Amino acid sequence: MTGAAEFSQTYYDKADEDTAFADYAEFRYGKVTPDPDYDKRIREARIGLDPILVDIVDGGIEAAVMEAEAAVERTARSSIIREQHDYRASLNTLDCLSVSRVSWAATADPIRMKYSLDKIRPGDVFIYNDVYESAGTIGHLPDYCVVTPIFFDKQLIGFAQIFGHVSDVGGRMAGSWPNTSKSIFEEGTMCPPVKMYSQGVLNEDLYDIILRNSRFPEDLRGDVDAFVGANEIIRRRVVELCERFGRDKVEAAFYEIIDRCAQVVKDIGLPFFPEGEFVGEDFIENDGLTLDEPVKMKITLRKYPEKMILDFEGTAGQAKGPINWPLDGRHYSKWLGAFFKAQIPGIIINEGVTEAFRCRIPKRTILSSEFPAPVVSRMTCMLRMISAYTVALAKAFNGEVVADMQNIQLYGLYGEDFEGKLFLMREIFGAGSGARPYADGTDAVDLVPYSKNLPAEFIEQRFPVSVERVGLAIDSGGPGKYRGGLGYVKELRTLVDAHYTTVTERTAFACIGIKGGRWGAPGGSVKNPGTPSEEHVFYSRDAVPVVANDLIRLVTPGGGGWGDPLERDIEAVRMDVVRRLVSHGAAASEYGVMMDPDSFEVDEIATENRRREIAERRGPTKLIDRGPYAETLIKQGLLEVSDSELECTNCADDKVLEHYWKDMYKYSGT
Amino acid sequence: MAWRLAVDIGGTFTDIVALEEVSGELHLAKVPSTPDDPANGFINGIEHIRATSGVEAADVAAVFHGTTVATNAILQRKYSPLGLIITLGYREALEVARQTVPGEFGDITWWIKPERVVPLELVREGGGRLNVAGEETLAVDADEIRAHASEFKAMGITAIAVSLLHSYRNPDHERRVREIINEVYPECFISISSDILREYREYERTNTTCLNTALMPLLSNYHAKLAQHLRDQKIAAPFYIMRSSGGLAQAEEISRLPIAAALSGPAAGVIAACHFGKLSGFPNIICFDVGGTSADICLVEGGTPRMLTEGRVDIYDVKTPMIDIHTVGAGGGSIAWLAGGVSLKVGPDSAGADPGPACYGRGGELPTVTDANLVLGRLTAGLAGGGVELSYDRAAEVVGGIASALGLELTDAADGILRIAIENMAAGIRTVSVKRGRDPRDYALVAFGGAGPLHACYLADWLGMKQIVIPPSPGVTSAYGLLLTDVRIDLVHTDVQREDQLDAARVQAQFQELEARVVERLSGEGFAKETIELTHFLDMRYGGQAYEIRVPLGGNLTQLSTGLASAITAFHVSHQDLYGYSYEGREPVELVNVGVTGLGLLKRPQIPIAVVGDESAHAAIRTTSDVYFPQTQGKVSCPVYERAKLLAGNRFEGPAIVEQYDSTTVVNPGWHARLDEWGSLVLIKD
Repeated sequence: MTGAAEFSQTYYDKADEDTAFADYAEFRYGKVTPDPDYDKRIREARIGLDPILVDIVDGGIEAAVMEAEAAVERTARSSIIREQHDYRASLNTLDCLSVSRVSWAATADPIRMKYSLDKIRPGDVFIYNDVYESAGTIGHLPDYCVVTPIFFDKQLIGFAQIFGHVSDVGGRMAGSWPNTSKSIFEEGTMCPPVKMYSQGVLNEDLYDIILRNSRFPEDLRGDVDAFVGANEIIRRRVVELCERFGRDKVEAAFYEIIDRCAQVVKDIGLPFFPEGEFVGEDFIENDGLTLDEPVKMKITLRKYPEKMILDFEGTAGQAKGPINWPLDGRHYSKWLGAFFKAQIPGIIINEGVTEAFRCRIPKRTILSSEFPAPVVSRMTCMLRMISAYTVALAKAFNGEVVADMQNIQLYGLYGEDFEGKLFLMREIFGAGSGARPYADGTDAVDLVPYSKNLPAEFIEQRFPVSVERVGLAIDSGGPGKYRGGLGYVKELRTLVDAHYTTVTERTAFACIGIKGGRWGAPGGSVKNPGTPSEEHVFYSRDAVPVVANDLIRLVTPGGGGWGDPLERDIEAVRMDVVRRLVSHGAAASEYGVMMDPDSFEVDEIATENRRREIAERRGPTKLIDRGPYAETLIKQGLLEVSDSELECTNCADDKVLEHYWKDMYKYSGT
Repeated sequence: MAWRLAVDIGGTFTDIVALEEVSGELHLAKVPSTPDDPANGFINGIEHIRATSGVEAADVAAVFHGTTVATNAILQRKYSPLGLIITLGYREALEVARQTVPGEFGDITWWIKPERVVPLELVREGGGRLNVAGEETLAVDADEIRAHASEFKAMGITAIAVSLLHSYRNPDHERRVREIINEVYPECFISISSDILREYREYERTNTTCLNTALMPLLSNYHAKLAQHLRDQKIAAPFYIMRSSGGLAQAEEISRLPIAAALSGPAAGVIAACHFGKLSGFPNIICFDVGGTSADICLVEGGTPRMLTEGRVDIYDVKTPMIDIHTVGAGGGSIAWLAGGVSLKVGPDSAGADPGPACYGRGGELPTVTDANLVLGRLTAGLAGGGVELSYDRAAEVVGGIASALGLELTDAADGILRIAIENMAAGIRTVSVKRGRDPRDYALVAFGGAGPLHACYLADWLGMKQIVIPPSPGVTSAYGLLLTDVRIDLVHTDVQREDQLDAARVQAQFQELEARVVERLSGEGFAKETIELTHFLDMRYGGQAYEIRVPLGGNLTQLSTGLASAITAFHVSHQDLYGYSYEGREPVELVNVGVTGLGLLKRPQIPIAVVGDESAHAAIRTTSDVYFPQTQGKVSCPVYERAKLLAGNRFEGPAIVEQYDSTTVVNPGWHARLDEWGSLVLIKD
């Protein structure tokens, strides 16, 4: 049922594809091209370059980036940075290619596009958070980016840069994250690429303006100073490498490192993918404004022997609400390239991946919105893009892929503390990861490497909150031969009157199960669970009111399952029940495993009968299992997907929509 | 006579050094380690050295011990199953951990979370609740704790960890829980998190506490057995154990705080390597300590190893101070095997001490790196001065098995095994150097451990390194390192104060109180006033930061204000240096901790100086031997020197073999050797 024939559609010989590959960003910045002398010098320096020296430079850069990130963690002040690691350091070449591995996003391009080389001097430090002035490499305004040019022997050789998510940059909402914004102007203050330090001298007036526009200027100053300091560490380490090996060799090594990645992607990565065309779709729950209208993300993966293209034709047009992500194709390629690791563990991804793998983004979609469209929740695009890619891959690999997941969401609580001061407690939550064709998914993990949750002991020190539970959501992992990871549960008791805000996905749609694996349970929040005032809250929300002593249960989704749950090892099911990861009920209904509720002893005959009975009732297993919300909408004709007809698991149910859509606009405020 | 005995237990051999404090008289011994019960190796070692050196029990002034018992228990998951009692609502805290995936973007797809120290079925909730100020909001329910303890007892669980929220602030609830468990289950091992790591962040504190608790039954029995043996032998001297941080502690600490000794043995080796490196004029070194099972590698700059406040032991994050040591599973006993029947691999499995390499003739059937060395003529005599006879025939037989499977000549197969082992060791060196942007060619390789000198030249040639130092007794260098450090106690008091609202009298009082406690403890351990050295330090940060920087208090307590001012300046300077900026003159500093380090100074042993001779090493040649070198493509005849007969100033050139009691050094062609005045063999490449 997979293969090019079945999914072959109109775009296979897209006329502009070669152009897109040559210069895919023509509707944005174009490309920073270095002068011919530079190219010639680098080419010559690469001749006969010692491969060990390349290893040493590569190791030196990675160590410098790690050292700089560690410095940010130790000196920054916003909790989302110092405790949660929502920031990234990287090194760019003179022509703005990313040499280091970790960062797909912000590059030095905006600086090069605005400042000619003779205007960039030693001691300069640039700063910006401007989304539309940076081709979306800075995805939303709370991400401040600091770029420091690196000079050796008076010659510019590259840029150190760090961007991180600060507490607040002004705008309509505390925390600068309105889920209902209709323009980027509601989301905070914009700082275009400007010189913060000119030849070592701080522009204090500029800094005053930036800080004055934050609700938490002290935090912001600590963060920005930490970024400037950490860039200095990277600069120093790169200069040391030049002192030891010479500038030409170090610069030559930069390009060698990038080419190594390109080579590995071409030699090992590409041959891994079957040739042909494969379509994957998924849906963002809504744009924050019209809550019953899911927003489509569509990917057509086209694989040729020497290259691979992801075409986003068919993806929804620019949204009214803030779910847009106006990045450009080059950076989308790096972002998705990182997920090659699901197929090829350990592959190193940097700029080189774009030599063989690129994205084609049509104009004026949610992935190419135009100023001043709102963008603050662009994360939803990041995550649904991975899901749509997962579905396309499932078709390409006949299900031998990692199941779907949703591993970043934010919850926040804000109000006045006991002293009447504004507080904002905000935490990034992980969730269950997708099951693998060889192993269960991981419980409660974040997608961002080195991201950390907030320790309860930290939260209670800083905010008027008591953390009453830190744990896992039972039965949330999608059932399968390999189970999806469990979602995260955190219960907060607010000690003051306040509001909470959610930036979430997969509260109605479910993480998709693959090849017989079932969908994972959606997340969401519950006010005062188990009391008469219990209330479920779905979707992203700006301001859900709570009063002192209310309990807020925050739950994140479980990962999709992989493979037929009836083939799951019985002992693994039994241990899941013993450990309270799976309930007795689910063990029986999903896995067909019957056991004694007290002794946990498995009744083998009853289990065998039960498994047979379930298999007969449900029929053949499905490649893609999207869960009841999606199936109901598909059945009602409200959504369209190109999954084969077989893919409906008959869990559509009109009651589902009633559950989600009842009082849907209660907390939409204005 | 006052003898110090140092015993270092490695995976394969137990090394013993006896040193007379005044004369510098030195005796060495090696006995096989006894992995089934490591205490027997210690006991055999003490008996062996006393028998060979004639040291009387009454003349033993102190006993020092370095051990990998804790590490090995973690590596092999040989620790006891344990229960965890944690605050209500936090049952799954170890599962959630910090929700972190290590690595890079995309690694979430394939990363598999390592097993937790305590599986969920052994976690119980209870123990009351404190608020952030450390005030009780829910009392400890004694019945509930009793029920948990009884349940664990019935399950045969012998150790219980207790970790309650905000116990860093107020340990009363944890202490109360321990008291209750003790009532119903007195023989159970218990550790409470406020004793192990008195810092906020519940996951890190809980995990470190659990790992510590898991090791307690094993290490407690271990210590009891050693202490009993010393008593039986009528050795009444103080007994010290090396911590991962390179400082010594009273040996009983290992029963209570085994986690602090996780890298005990390797730490002693690093201290010794720094010492010998500095003596020979090399402050920047890469320590290369190769035993039977593993190679421990540490990069040292300016004579001081890098310290970590937290690190990893195997897969576990552990928050306890340790020297930054990297271990790879490549040693003399590493087993060569054929993956898929065609691809030659070496390690990480080791033949260890028992049965040991095939050439030991103790029943080892599998080819090891040592067997390959023997086949190549690189090992000429037995080990441990003939204490272990080596059988060439046995080695040739097992290496021959690999050779015939691969269709190779015997020597080519042996060299292949060696090359792969060297490659594994080189990867370890690259991890601490190249991967941190350091070029190994800028460092001297200090090679020790029984198998370090055997592989040093080969490895240095591989990596382009040009300087090697082989300490006087390489096989017992780690044991010797135990004699080169002091007893150390660090006490810290947390009290956050801002620089501009500082109550100096309070700081003064805190320092004085800590000083008094440190002095009391060291005096209790028998240190006279003049052998106690105190230093004062402060942990500081800028307001709102999550981490502190430790700086020394300038001067002494009588001029506290000057001292504080210089400490604050030192903080700004360090902040600038470490993080690239400072707020000097712009923002007040927060003092977070005041602390006192007390060193109980032990007399340094007299360093024996080698007898000076002329340039010719001819007199030390014992024989010649045929040795295979990769450069020579076949065996060549080369001189075999007796290290004991080499005099300071003697020079010779490779190829050559140097034999000594505890190790064998292979000098490759193209290398010059010289014995320096401190008795170290310094090898320099042209």
